[in-house]
Amino acid sequence: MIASQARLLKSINGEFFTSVYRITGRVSFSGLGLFSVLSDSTRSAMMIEDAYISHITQPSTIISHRASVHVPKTSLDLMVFGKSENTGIEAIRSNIARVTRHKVFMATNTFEILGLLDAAMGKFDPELFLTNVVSVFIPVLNVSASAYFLPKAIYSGEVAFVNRALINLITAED
Amino acid sequence: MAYILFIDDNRDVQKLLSIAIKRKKQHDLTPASNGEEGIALAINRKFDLILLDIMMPDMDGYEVARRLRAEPRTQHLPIIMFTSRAQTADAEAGLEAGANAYLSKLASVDDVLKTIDDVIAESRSKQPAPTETPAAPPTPQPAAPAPESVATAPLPPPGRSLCILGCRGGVGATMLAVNIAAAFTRRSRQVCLIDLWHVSGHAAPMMRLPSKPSWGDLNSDLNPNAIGSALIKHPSGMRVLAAPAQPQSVGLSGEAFNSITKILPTFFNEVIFNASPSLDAATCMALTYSERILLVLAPEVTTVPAAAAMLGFINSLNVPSHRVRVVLNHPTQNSSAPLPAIERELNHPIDAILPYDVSQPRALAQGIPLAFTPTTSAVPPYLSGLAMLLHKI
Repeated sequence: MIASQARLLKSINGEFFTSVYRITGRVSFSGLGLFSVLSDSTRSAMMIEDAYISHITQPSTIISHRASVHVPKTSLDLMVFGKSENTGIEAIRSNIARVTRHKVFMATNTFEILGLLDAAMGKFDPELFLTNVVSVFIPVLNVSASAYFLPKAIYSGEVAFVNRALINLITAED
Repeated sequence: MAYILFIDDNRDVQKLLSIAIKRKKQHDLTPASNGEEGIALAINRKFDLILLDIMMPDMDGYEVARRLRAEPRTQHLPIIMFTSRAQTADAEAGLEAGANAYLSKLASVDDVLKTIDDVIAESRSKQPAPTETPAAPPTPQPAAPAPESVATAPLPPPGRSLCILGCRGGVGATMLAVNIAAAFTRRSRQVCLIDLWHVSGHAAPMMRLPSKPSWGDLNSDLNPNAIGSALIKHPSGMRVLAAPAQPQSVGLSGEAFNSITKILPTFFNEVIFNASPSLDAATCMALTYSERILLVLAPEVTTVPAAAAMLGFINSLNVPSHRVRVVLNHPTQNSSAPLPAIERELNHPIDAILPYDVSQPRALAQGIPLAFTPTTSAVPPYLSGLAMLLHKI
């Protein structure tokens, strides 16, 4: 007997940034939240539905609306979410037995990001952190980010995911 | 209690917020699912406030706000941008576009209600206090040095209004507007035909009249003399406010429409609007203003759904259904869709049928509407019947 199980799809609205585009839209997921999509190594791209696209040079001007767009995960610098619900952040945190929270500043080629980082108990080790290959995207809490050439346009949210591979600078306060 | 217009393409959000707001406060929420519909509702109905989404497919919220601020009837209406795209740059752009406040869709219902109350209170406090003696309603100036058209026209009782709208271009709505105006003129009515099209308006050329002056020549000083000067006189006595010969990016402004409709019905028995299917502000105003509406369609498979959609749009403006009549025009010899099928798809009866007339191309070439020609043509009796039908509405 073959048991079939319907997968319940949920979705989350958020802001998705490449080095050129700001895409506001919705990502569907099943399981433990958006993080399950981000860490799914069988999928190299993210499908963003009901996508409103702007250039990050003019972030409030909507240049296009598309029913869906696909973005390679390797091109995603940053994702920002207003609320932490459905991001999967709780599941990530529960994997760490004892957590210390660090205030961090990090930068990609385009974005400067300020926020809080949860790490295992002890001194924060940036080198270890950057070479971690378990997950490509780093969850940052209470985030506030901006493109370096447009510092007044601040993107803030309860949770952001930063592409570890695109980070070129990181500093933390204990 | 406040009357709130909620423009958002997401019906789920509309329903949820509507339920939440009604539970806590007795505000009346009217939904609009896109910018065009929202603008038309805002212009034609009275609201205390607009809740406006940013991310909508055809026209984004910034553009809706800009258009509402450019429209005299809505320029002071408070707007709250209500969106999930709520970063600082978005808020700044929203306020720049004319919004009074900016709210994230992640805000709690209490925060939404508080912002609504604050913005309405602030807006009311800015309105001028009523004076001891209310200002007298504007009275049309006697047509002193006015052009002949206005000066010799009969004075009250005010005239009736008729809006003729094609479900799309090419169904013969302008031809019908010109002929109905001619039929009324033949029945000794004082008629003014207003061509609201802002691109390719051709009511005046159909009667071999110049397209200048036109409503495009009206400036901000919209007094009776200025409006009278913009009218073109047809040899039959009919007056025409022509559409500009050059395509315009926007139609007749709401302010101009208001002035025209205050003045012209005083001097004419019949004011007929040839409305544009682009549904610009003036057309929406004409639809809600007119006592009678004729929706024109052709018996073609592709046209009938457009007519059904147009009926839906007219309905969304809360125009009473008894004002609307549907006319099936045959602009060509070949027509395919059968009448019962058309009526079934429209969910509305066809009130009048205009047959194809071989004389029509000649009438166009000569610039003499068929209603002015001897009755050897097939159309004039139908037009006469249509005029009588309109008389009864």
